[in-house]
Amino acid sequence: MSTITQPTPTAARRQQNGLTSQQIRAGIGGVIAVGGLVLMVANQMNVIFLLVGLLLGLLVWKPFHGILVAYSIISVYPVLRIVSISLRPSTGLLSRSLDIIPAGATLQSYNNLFNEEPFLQWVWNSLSITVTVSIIGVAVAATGAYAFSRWRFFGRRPALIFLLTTQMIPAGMLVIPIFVIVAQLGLANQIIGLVLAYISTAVPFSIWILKGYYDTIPPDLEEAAMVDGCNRMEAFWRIILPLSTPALSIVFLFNFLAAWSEFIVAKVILTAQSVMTWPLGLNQLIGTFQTDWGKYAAGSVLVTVPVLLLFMWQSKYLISGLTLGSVKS
Amino acid sequence: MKYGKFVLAVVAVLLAVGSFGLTLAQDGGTLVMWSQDGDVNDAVLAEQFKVWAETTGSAFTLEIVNKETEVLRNDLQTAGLAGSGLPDMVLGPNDAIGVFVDSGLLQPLDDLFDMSMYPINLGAAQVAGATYGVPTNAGNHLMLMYNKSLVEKAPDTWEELIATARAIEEANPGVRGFAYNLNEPFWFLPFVHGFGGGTYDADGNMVLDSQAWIDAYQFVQDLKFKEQIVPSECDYACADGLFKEGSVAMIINGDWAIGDYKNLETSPALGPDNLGLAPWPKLPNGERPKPFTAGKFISIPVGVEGEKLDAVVSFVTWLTTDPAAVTAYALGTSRLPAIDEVTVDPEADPLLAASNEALLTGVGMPADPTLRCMWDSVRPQLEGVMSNNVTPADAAMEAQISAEECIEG
Amino acid sequence: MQGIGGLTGDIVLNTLGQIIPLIIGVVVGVVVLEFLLYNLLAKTLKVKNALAYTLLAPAAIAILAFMLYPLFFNVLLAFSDLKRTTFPCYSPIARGECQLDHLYGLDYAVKNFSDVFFRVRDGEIIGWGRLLRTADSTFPVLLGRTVLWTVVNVIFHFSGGLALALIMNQKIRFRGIYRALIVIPWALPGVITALTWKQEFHAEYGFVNTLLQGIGLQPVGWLRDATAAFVAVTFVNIWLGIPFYMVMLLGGLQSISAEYYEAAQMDGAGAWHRFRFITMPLLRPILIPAVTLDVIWTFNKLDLIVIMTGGGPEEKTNILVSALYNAAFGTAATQQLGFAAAFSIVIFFILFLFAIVWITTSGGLKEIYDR
Repeated sequence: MSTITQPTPTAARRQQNGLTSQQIRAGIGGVIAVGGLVLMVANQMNVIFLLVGLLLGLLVWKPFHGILVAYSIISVYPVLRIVSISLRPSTGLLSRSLDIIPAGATLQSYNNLFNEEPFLQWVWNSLSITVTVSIIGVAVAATGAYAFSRWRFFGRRPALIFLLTTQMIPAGMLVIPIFVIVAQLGLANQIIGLVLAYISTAVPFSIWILKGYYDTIPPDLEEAAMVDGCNRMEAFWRIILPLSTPALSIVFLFNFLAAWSEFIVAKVILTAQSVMTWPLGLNQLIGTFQTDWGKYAAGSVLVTVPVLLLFMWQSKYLISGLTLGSVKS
Repeated sequence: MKYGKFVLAVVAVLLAVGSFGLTLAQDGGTLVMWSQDGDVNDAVLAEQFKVWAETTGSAFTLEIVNKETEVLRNDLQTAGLAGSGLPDMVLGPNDAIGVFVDSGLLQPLDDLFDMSMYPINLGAAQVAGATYGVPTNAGNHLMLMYNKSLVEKAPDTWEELIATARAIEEANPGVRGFAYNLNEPFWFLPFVHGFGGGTYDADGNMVLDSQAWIDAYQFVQDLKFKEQIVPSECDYACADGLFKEGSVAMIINGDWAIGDYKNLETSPALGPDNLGLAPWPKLPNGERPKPFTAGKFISIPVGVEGEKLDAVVSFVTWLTTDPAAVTAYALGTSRLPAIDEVTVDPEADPLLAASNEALLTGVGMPADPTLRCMWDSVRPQLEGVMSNNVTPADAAMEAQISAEECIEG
Repeated sequence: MQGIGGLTGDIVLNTLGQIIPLIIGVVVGVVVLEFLLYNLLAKTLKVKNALAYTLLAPAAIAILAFMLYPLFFNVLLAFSDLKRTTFPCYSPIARGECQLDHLYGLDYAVKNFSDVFFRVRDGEIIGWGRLLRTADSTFPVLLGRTVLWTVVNVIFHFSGGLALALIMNQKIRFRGIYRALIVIPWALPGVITALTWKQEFHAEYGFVNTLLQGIGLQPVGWLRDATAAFVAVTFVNIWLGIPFYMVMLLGGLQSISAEYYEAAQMDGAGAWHRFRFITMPLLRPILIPAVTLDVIWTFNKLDLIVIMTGGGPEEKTNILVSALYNAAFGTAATQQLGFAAAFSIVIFFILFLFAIVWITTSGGLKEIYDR
């Protein structure tokens, strides 16, 4: 772990000097914060001045925390705004207020969403598509990536470059052909059609990540198992897969996140109300001929919160997942 | 041992494929309609379908899929290319019909319906002598809509409108006087017509750079930058949303929205008592801007046949010609019937009467497929004019160049 | 509507009835396929690396069917004259006379590809071809804007992400909380990000202008003015991309052994020197793939632009991919699918060329396929 700040003789001395400059900075920071308060009072209790004052004060006092707090606000505020809009009463949807808890806050929008829209059905459709894609994607990629990692076979390099190339295909390029294929299979407007279309895009990226992870597992492990009488597949099944659980769960998560909010392909393949996924449903709520911003915001909150929690909970895993294969162990 | 596993696997695959097939076979008995008509009106149509199914004892059910104009057009085309996935009915404005007919995606309807029943508007759905759409209503026209609790009397000229809007804004802080869908050519064309212009000249050539176009660009630009009477940014959702919640006194919108505005639940500030309708105010030259008119039409895509086709024809015939059905649909959607036999009593619905008055000021919208080139070429120029980045003369010139290129292909 | 939120037992059963057989079918199918293929390759044909090919087969089939076949289809479209008026020739069900004597041909391809670049009348080039409906939608203008968009985004992503990662790599309190908050933009579903920011950049009702006015500045017509709209979408994409770099680089920083820094400090190297000669070289293996992916993703960033501005106003916020989308599906769709297919192939090749040049010069992906 990081030990850049471990006290060495020079650093220790600097820390001693820093104590006084720290106090000076704290003083200046405090003055700025109070200045913000004064300006707020002078400007009809405009809270923005106080907040800006507090932030500038913190920046002077503890610059690192100041920067991180400022950036956290930039990251979070737009999200809080969605929550705020979902709580607005229907008569005040287009309001200029910056309050996070709006005046007259109500859960009416959530109520309307459940009573007027087949919202749960959308979520259910998305969920079943997403889980299916993730399971099949991981299963198919797990063995494929193993082949890329352990064998030097004919066509390996071009195949790996092709996998990267698939990332470069403009989305608009595949929509029409994919629809035509899905329709010719008789799967237009079927959940299965979308599942098949998603799997093809999920597999290349999954292989990339998994191959990177397998590369970090020493081949000696399987060889030892094979000496003990396992065949290659048994060694893969008993040794490699259990060791790769973190990577497999990351791949599952990536595929899940990508499919969960996909919009452009879904829009073309699924048109019937009964098979709509939530991105299509929410998009319908803000379509040209009707605007129920409150219902839209309520739906957004409901589909986003689980993903956010999952993401934060798994964020350590995700980091290691993305850097797999890049960092030598 | 190995064989046993293999046989088991084959059986499992067959089972899986079999249940696949079963789920696929469940489809049937459902008529699918793609509609561009908005949810409120679709709900009325769905109710009408139930009435029809009850009276005829039909086992079919109706599934209405709501699609935006462009989405509907793209999806129909993509489905046509795939050879499957087309709906059984399409409900939309007539200007898309020409495009679909060019692509061979619609059935001619002359042999399926008694076309003499529909004297109004039929030309709007005819291409090369054949008819491709049955009108469900007359109109689809833009008019002035106002909130009677804020506006006493509808302004008759733009000068009056500006004065009224200013007075309202002064008297009611936080309320706007006037707003409309600023950058959408459909809202702009009426001005062009009012200044004496049009899309085609007498020989049928597209002309988008006549003086009328320049005057119209100038007029809307002045409304925004000189008079400052419209919001700096406003699209359909903005005008519509503000009007429903009572934050704007006057807007321009089409007859499709009347049903929504009459509904106190979705439009708490309006309702039947506060919603006022009027023709467009007069321009300085004394003319009223003339909205495009036609109506919404039901078309039948290719590939619909047999029992489904019979059901579709029977339902559409009933919906558009049965006097009781036509009246119910007209009153439910607050739009004007498309056939002469049925007229709505002004006493029964004063809003319909007012809408009718506005309808009479309009000009018919052609079904010519090249009309798309006009919409597409004017839109970016209008955006430039409305952000004061492009002069009216340049906008007209650029639109003309673009439209010519578009028509050449 | 029956059931709350429109969900009923029937619907649940119906969906399960589709996906469970699918999962079982795929899994069983994969096992059977691998079994047969392995026997064929290893025992009958005696191919070297038979097991490797066997393991790859399912992934290869998935990619072939839904990636390569669509690509092939797209190339075929570029060799066709598919447009509104010739639609009946190509559609299996459309009615109407087909006026073409052949459906696919080199002549069509030549026309489609030259239309992407030039406006040709009577065999003479009379200028750049318009991909959409204004003079701002020609190929050089769009390419220039795409490069600007990509470069600005990647630079800000990288520098913002690196700065945050360096700070977070210090011993700082609340690090876990900061990280959880800062990754939020990345975790948000793309549709919601785009729609929400679109609303927030509204000149009258968005919080951006409310804030500007709150501190005494003039409001800006963010999505109405072409330049401001481009700034707005760029800002949102930067906002979206910084967490990715922060997470990647922080992971890289944490894997750098402290011994390097201690040794350097013993030698009296200053902070800049340690950054320049230890941090940066050791981050390289992470940085190169990250930048490669970011360039590709930014270049191809379609949903954000399409949803936020639709490429407008005045078609001045389009990049190549959004122009393609608008040409094929948008309001200004020319409905010339042959031309759109050719356009998409051109875009793909630009990106492909970049990737080849970048990968061979940076050498950063070498280990991924050489190891």
